[in-house]
Order: sequence, then C-alpha cells, then structure tokens
Amino acid sequence: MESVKSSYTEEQRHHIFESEFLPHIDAMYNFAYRITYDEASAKDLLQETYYKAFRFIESFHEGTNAKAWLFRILKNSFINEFRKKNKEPSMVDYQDVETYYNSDDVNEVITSDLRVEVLQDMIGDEISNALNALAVDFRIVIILCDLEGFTYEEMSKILDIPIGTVRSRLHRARNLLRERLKTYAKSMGFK
Amino acid sequence: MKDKKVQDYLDCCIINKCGEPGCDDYAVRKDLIQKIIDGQASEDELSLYNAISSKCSDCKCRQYCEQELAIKNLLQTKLDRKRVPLDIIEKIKTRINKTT
Repeated sequence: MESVKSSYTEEQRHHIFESEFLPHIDAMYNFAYRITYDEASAKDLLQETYYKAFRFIESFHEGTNAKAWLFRILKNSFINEFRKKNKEPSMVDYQDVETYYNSDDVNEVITSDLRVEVLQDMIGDEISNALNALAVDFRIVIILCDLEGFTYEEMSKILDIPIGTVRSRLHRARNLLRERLKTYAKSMGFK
Repeated sequence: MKDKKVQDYLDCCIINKCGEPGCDDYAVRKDLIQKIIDGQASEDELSLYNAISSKCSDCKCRQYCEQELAIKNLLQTKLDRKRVPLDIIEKIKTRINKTT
C-alpha cells in the first residue's frame, strides 16, 4: 500500500515470501475460487498473484499487513487480466449503488422478514449458490468482510475505494444476498 | 412521506422509548447496526446496542440485526474452506526461484 520502497537482500526476499506471504495462501486460494467460481482459474490467479507479490516485494514493508497487500494484488489481477480475458463485464453500476444508499428507499431495508430458524436449516450449497449469484463486486465485499474479517479501512485499501463506498456496497450486497436466500426459502416452502 | 414499513420501524423505538442515545435517531441506529453486522463496532458501540435492544422486547432493529448476523454465521460455518493443492505451492516456488 505504501509507495516508499524498501530494499531487501535476496535472502530477505525469500524469508518474507515464506514467512509473511505463504501463510495466507489458503485464504487467497479461497478468495480466488469464490470470485472466479472456477478451480483452474483460481489456481492461475493464485499463481499470478504470488509471482507478482515476489516481483514487487520491494513495495512491501516487512511487518505490515501482508494479507491485505496480497488480497489487493489478487483483486487487481482479477480485474485487470482475468476479467478482461474472460470478457466478464462488471455487473455493478456503482452510481446506482450510491444513489440507492443515499435515497430514502434505503430505510426500507431494515426488515426482518426471513426467520433465523429458516436460515439455520439451509445447507452449504444453498448458501454458496446464493453468494455466487451475486455480481462479483458485491461478492467480493461480503467475502472480505464476513469470511476474511477485514476492517473497513483494510477493505478500502484493497478495493481502492473510500470507506463510505465500502459500507454502502456491503449494505447493498447484504440486501441482495438476503433476497436470494429469501427466494430460496420460499421455493422450499418455508414461510 | 415514509412508506408504512419504514414508519413501522421508526415507530418501533418511539413506542418503546428506551431513551438510550441513538435509539430514536434512525440514522444513528442504522449506522450502529451496520457496524455490528460488519463486525466493526467498538466496545462502546456494542454496549450501546445491547442497552437499546435489551429494553425493547419487540425491537425490529434487533430482529433485523439478528437476522443479518445469522446469515453471516451461515457464511462462516457452512461454506467449504478449500486447502490449496500442494502442487500449486511447488509451482509458485519453482517459478520464483527461476527469477532469482
């Protein structure tokens, strides 16, 4: 995240790679899989990310947040290369999101129309399908916040967007996810 | 003009009148609830939320919050966490070693 570069010896570069980058590889792989929804693509994206992390290791400051730094590289690789290659358009109109969040309609979302007991009966596949059905930009914020436990500030840096936008996107993503789950619950006969 | 659903939720805290700071302010309450759901609330904010919600037996904001936390819990407990295949780690290391 910092622009000031450090200078590492070859030994230090390998040490940082092993001790600070590799411990996050499972989390990175899961993130790659959840945004590509394809195992082969997730492996490619993961390899590309770690290769880039090593190449640009001078930009990383030992002892700072390696996980957030790596997630940022992966997210950028996904947007700049993978998504371009696969011609997947961004599904999110951010202006719509901001307009939605700043309008009175947003008040409407404080609803509790999906019973907790119904949610608890759902299985992993149903949750996974609901999450995967979200546009990737919404999926990303849910993953970063709920599955990886990043703070607003960390997400803001990973995604290169202001904290307010992180919050509004998260808010919208949660509403969409809840709607998916509600639709599923209805289709299964839950009321 | 708020629609009926929104008005219901605004009324919720007015009727219960717990009197806690933020309870009767929709924007503050919404902000607080979002921070709790997102796991970003401070200890003070959590205490404030607990103080408000414990006094409202039929608090719709609490129901909303509990529902969202249940969804979050589902994501955390029911989604598979994959382990990266070992050959991928080896491939990464090999590629890196070639560059040095």
